[in-house]
Amino acid sequence: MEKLLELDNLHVSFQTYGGEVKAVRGVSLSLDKGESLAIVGESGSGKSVTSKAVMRLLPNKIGSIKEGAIRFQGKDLAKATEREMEKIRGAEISMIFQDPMTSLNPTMTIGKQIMEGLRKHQNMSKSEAKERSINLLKLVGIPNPELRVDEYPHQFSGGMRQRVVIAIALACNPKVLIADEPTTALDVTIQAQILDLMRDLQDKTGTAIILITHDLGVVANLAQRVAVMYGGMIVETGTVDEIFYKPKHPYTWGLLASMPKLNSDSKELLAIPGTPPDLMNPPKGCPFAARCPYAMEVCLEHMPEATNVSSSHKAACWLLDERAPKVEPPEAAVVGGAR
Amino acid sequence: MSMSERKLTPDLFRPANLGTGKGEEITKPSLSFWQDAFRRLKKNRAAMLGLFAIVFIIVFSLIAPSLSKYGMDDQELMRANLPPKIPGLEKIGFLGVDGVDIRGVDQYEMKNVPAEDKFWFGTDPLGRDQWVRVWKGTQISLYIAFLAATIDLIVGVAYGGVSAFYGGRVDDVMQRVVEVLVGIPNLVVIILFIIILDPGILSITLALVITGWIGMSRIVRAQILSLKNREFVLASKTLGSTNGRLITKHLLPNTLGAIIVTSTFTIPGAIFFEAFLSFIGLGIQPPTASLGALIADGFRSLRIYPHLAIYPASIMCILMISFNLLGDGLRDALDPKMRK
Amino acid sequence: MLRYITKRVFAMFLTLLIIATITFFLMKLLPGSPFNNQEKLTESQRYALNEKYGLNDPVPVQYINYLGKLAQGDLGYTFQFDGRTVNSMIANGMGPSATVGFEALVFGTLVGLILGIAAALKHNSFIDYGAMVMAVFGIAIPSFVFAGLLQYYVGVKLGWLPVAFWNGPEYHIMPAFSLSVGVIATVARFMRTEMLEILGTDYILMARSKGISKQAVIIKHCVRNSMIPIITILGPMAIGLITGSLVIENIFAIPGIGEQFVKSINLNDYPVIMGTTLFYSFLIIVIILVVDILYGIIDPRIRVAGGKS
Repeated sequence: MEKLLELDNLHVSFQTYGGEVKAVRGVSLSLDKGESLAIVGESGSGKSVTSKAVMRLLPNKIGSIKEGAIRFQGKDLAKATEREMEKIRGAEISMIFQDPMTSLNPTMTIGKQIMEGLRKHQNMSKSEAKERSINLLKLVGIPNPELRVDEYPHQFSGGMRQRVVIAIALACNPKVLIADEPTTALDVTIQAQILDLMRDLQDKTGTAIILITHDLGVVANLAQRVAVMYGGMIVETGTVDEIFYKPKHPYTWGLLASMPKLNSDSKELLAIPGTPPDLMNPPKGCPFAARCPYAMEVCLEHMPEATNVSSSHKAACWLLDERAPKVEPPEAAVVGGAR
Repeated sequence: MSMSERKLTPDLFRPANLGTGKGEEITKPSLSFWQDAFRRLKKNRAAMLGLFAIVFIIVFSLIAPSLSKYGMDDQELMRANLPPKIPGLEKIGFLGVDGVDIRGVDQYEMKNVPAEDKFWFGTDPLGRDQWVRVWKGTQISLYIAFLAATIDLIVGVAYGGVSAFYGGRVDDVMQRVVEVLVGIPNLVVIILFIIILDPGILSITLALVITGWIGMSRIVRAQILSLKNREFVLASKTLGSTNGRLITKHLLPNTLGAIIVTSTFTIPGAIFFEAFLSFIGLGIQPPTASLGALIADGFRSLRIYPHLAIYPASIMCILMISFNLLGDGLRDALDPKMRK
Repeated sequence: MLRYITKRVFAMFLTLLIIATITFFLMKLLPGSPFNNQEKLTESQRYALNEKYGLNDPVPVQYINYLGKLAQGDLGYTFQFDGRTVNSMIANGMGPSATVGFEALVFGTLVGLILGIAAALKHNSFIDYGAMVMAVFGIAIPSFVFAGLLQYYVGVKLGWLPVAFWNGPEYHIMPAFSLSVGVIATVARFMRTEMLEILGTDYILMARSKGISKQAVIIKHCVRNSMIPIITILGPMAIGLITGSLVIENIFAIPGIGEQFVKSINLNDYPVIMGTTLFYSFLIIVIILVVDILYGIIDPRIRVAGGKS
């Protein structure tokens, strides 16, 4: 089957005063039509940078794609011109940002902000675009859309604003929607509403979603496949079931163990000790080795290769090597009892 | 040397001996706030240039007058209005320091000035050595500016600090007073006060201070108000810190950056207003002179004796620019958020 | 909003009353009457003059009379010319002063905006550094020093423009330009900071992720939003212009209010000093009030918040 979007060995670097920060170091991913893929990892793991690289919205002078390809419907976006990207952004791939409080222009009515993309990509007249904006607002569940279309962002609550942002992103029926921590800045009750809305809209429109998050709860809710990122690399990918019930990478174990569980006796939340690697001088071997309780000497010196666990499940860890000692995941990392 | 080719020996698969704290190790050296700020300031070349120029001018204004054998008021009409003549540089024509005036007449010859008498900045219409007057004037301008900045600082910090720290009704009353004062344009207040007090170093400084402290007090108040409810202050309070300890250990150190930056900008402001007052005839009265007074006098005879205005004007420009550069640098170094 | 404006206007009159009172009593504190210095006057002439200007009345009576006249907008008589009112002097000087000020404001704002936008878009480039060096110079160097140098080099040495006086359009160039230097610098710096801040916001990224071209994003989202806060510095800038005009008018011999004001200070012409002081206070306070209200009207965030409360 034709992949809709495919990242192949993507490298992204930032030039800073201190030197080159290698934020993304060889990420390969693929996304099918209508699929939803979650990219999980802690802050600084390179997940947001990956998504901005796909949109080619890296900060102009300092951030650049060093190597690799981003193939969207067969076309390499890494080499596309700015003008070509303008045609793709919003129309084919669009994006939702983390903080709805800052991602809307405070001095423009939300109607105008929705209409901008419509008028650019679909050559709509003003009245057509306005009508469509009202319909979009209705679609994302904003009451009285005819009135609210002429209001300013500050007249909306956080959850409502995120709905508006989603309406803007979906305005031109894009094939891919990248949601960069869409619920992180919202209250927990609102988070569930927004996730429901996104799932609902995906059913209706068939848009593929790349969900970027550090919240495994959100992943379980929305995604079909998961990629776990650490230190600018993907350490494990698989279906949601595989990642939650048969995780293979110690970092994934750590992530699962640090998730609060309602049915657990333990009073303590388990944290992964240590801090993420310095991406200015990334370690030679596995990026997680320094924090890994199972680290072996090989881990410090050699980069583990992605090993197939099943046809859909891959992990990059030396523990999967036949020479390595057998290690069972810690009990805390087992979700809802072993299956 | 691809690793898939190289055989990995089984002993590599033994557990690695990681130091227990290795993951937690802090890899970068830690810097205190002030060390970090100073490092940033040192990196800012414009600010360092400004600082250097300020120090240079201050030192020079203190020693330069003694390099001339004439005093500030040594009048001698026989040698009035001499153009500048600097030994060594007089041969280089385009510098205009060869003792020849704009009509091409060597005034030193015409006025029979003894050959060993060379006035580096020329002389004024009363035959006083402009070199001495300019550097003395610089001293006085700087004195007024620093004095005004210091008083602003003391009054402003005290007023703003008390207002914010005690809050409630005290703050209410104190802020109503400030509101009224802010409404009165400082231009007007300064002019009125000078008219009443008669121009002099002290009265000019006072006039500058009367409105000047308000800016400082507002900044200090805003800073302390926001700090007062921050967790670390509340924590210290919960642990039983006295008010004195709160102020000296928590509130003031965290406000210091803003205070320093504001003071640095007060100084060029004061130099400006002092010069401005000289221009409208309310400045320092003769025979004393400040930079502003010298420039104002110089402008009256700019067409014939440009040297009278050019030298003090240049020094004033360098001072103003330097203080602004230093202030910008300090602001960027101490409080990147304040940038505006 | 209306309540806010009413409150502000009330506060404005209160401030003006305080300024008028302070001005009046400060002038009374000055020793003697303005006619004491004129030795030619005989004792009886002096008495007659004092009587004519009401200077023989007890101070409280003078104060009440003064306030009464002020309420009618009457600023009194000047001592310099017999029978001329301060009002007529201000009215005469208003034309040239307002013209220079307005020209400087418009020219300075335009050039400042262009410089600031260019500097922000070419951040960390030669243009950026050049514009910011110019801005530091413009902010640091007082307009009257700049005016003097301009007058000497362009007017006297090069002879390109008339050195002084007020006889036609070419006479406006140097004074207006000298005054505008500070405006250019302030606006350019402010605009650059605003632009850089907004360029880094999420909503600019959001707008670009919609596929809008970079130019359109910059004009529609960035420049527009950066220009709104410029209004807040209009007040301080106007005060700077008024301060500068006092001296600039003097240097270029422009028959404006500032020139008369400086002359009256040197002649101890108290009614003119008091009148002009009050006039300037009024002007500055009104400008700040108008700017605040304008800001509330233009920025939708404040507009709506004000409307609801």
